[in-house]
Amino acid sequence: MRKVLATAAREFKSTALTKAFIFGVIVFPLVILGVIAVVSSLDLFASDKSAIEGELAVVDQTRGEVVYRALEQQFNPAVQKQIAEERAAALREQAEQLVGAERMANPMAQEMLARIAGREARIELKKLGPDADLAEVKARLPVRGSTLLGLIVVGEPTIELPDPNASGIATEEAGSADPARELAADAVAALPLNTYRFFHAAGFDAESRSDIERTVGRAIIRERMDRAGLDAEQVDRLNMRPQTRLMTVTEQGETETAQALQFIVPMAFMMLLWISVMTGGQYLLMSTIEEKSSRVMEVLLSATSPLQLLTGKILGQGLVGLSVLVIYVTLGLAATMQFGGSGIMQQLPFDQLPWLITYFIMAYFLFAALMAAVGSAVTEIREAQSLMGPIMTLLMLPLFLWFLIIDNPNSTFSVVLSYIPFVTPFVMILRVSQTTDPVPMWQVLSATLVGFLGVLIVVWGAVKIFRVGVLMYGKPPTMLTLLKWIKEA
Amino acid sequence: MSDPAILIEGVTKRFRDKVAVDRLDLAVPAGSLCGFLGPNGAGKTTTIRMVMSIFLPDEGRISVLGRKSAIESKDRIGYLPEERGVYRKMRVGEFLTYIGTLKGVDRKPLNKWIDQWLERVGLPEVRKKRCEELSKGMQQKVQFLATIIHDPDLIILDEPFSGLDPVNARLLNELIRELHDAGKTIIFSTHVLIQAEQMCDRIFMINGGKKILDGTMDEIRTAYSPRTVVVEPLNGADPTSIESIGGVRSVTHPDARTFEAHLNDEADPQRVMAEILGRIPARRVEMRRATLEDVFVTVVSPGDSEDMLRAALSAGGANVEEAVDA
Repeated sequence: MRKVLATAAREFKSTALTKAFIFGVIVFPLVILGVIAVVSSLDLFASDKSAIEGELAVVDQTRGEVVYRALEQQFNPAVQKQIAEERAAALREQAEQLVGAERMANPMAQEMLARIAGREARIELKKLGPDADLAEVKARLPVRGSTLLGLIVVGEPTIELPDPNASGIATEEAGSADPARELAADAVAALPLNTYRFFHAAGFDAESRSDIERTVGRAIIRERMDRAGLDAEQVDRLNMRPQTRLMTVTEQGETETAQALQFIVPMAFMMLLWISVMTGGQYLLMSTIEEKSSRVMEVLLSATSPLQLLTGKILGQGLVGLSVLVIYVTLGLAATMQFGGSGIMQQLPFDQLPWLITYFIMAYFLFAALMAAVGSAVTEIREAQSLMGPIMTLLMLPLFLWFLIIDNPNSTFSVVLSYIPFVTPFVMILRVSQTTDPVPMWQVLSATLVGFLGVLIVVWGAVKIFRVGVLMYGKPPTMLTLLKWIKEA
Repeated sequence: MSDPAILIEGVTKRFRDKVAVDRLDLAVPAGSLCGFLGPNGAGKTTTIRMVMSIFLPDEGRISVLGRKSAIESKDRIGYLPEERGVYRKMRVGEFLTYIGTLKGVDRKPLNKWIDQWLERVGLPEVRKKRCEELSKGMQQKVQFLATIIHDPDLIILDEPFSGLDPVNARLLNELIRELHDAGKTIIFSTHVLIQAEQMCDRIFMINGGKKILDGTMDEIRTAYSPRTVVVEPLNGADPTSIESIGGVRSVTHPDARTFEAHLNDEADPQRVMAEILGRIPARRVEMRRATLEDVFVTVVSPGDSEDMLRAALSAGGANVEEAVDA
């Protein structure tokens, strides 16, 4: 035992207490977080700058110019200001619900909110008559520095609906006879039914565009209702969709469904598991290969037995993997607390943490044993590649399947996958940590049992390969050779 | 001290269809300094690895220091493998401490021991250096320290002299003698026959996995006496008359000044030497001593050398590396 612990301690020290490791595990994610923060603040900055300002030309040939009037009302500076304020208020309310009011009182948070919300479009409308030359107007759109942002062509055909019995889609009629001049009236006449045209410069602000589209669309629909003699206000009210309140009913009772975290938590748990298993396993592979290629292996074997050595190495690197897990869980919790607030913290499934540890142990021992076997069989990292292929495929599998499993945690597919040893820990952590469709306890227990049985078998085989492999130099073995070693040892 | 330190009885080890060690019997007396000889690929390393329980024999029994296997007495054995290395990134002091801890030495005495012995082997300033900064000879000395760090009773050294310059070889020689004088049992394998001859009080030689020589130096010398009398005649005296002495089979003339009289098996060397002196004036008449080299060449045919083995195996396309490493 003392030898095992000494080996484990050396393994942990030589891996985790190196600059490369500390950089890779701690500094690297922080750098990524930093980059994300910088990029997102750049994004805010950029969108702040592009608050839209300019002219919008409108050819409105509808009776009563309903579209022009609606746009005029929408882009009235007073209305715009009001809209922006309302939006900011709604946003603040949402944020306060999520994060807590005391946090939002923070001036930085206020500023951020104002940045997100405070985008007022200043659009000046310019009405064009039927005689206007659209070719000339459109020519101004691509000009750099032009104040003209876009051109809308709308008319009676837009309001008219196509005959529901007519087959096929209405096609546009031929354009004007003179390509150099394009009369506004002709353009309107050429519109297919239920269609209008919106010319704009490349890079037109997407939010303003959808704002304009919404206004135009609503104006057209209102006009149709008026003409049909319906009360537009009433129709709008009637169209209000009922709200859903999702309730999850379990054996423990019913709770409000945690929608926001439904996908994120299982995914995060699985990724944590994956990264920590991967880190520990990878280092184990490398240190085994190092001991072999530097020929220190036999020196070690003169002091310990192969089994003691293997156990020590697996434990030491397991501690490395566990440290990664703990570091990331802590960082994640800190980040959630900082940015998510108490609302989200309450929704986190802390009661699932023991499962995370359980499945970490299962997954780690499986892959560590495989890695140690591969590491002991080869002399150089290069030679390990071909043997690593199948192992990596197994390890990647959950990354491709996670969505299917979260989507339907109790489907036959998910249940079957739970009993395949190499994917068991990953599938089970996904299933156990989701709350939409709790997994029956007997399945959790039996899958865990099967998983650990698999671990025993794999470790048993790995020990045999390790015994033979550690002192075998020469051409790298194939998978088949490894199986033979298991039989022989 | 009467029990042998190592007792090997009828041990056989096969790798696939190649027999690396073939029904080997060997007893290493406690307190002896033994040379373990044999051509490359003879099975020396395999035998040593079986003694260390790194390989398990297919047949036969091995007991080490009175126990059934080395696993039970590992902390009393110091083993310097032929395939030896160090952790390249580890510091020398850390490496020795780690190995010492693995072998059950307490940390406190370990610390002092490391300083003393690094000094003793002429490496007083390397403790804080990384192992990769050391030359090969320095690394080898560090490895030797790792071998004896726990004051073992039995020390097994596989090719300890390979790669050492004469100065360091002499130092190692001294250290081995010291350990021997302190009552340790020491076995080392080597190709340098002179070294074995000068140092050992016992020799084993194996070839093709079989023991072909086992005994004290004197026993071996007697058994393999080449039965040759060297004659250096005085002032160009004519030695042709030697050939007619009874018991002399032939006379050769290896260099300008000396003649060698090869005797029949039943001839008495004393009588032949007296007769030679009676017939010609000679500066020197002596029995040639059997050197280990003579013995080696006598018992090992050139075909047994590893190079030949390699060639034969690669023609067969089998696992050359495995077989040869074995």
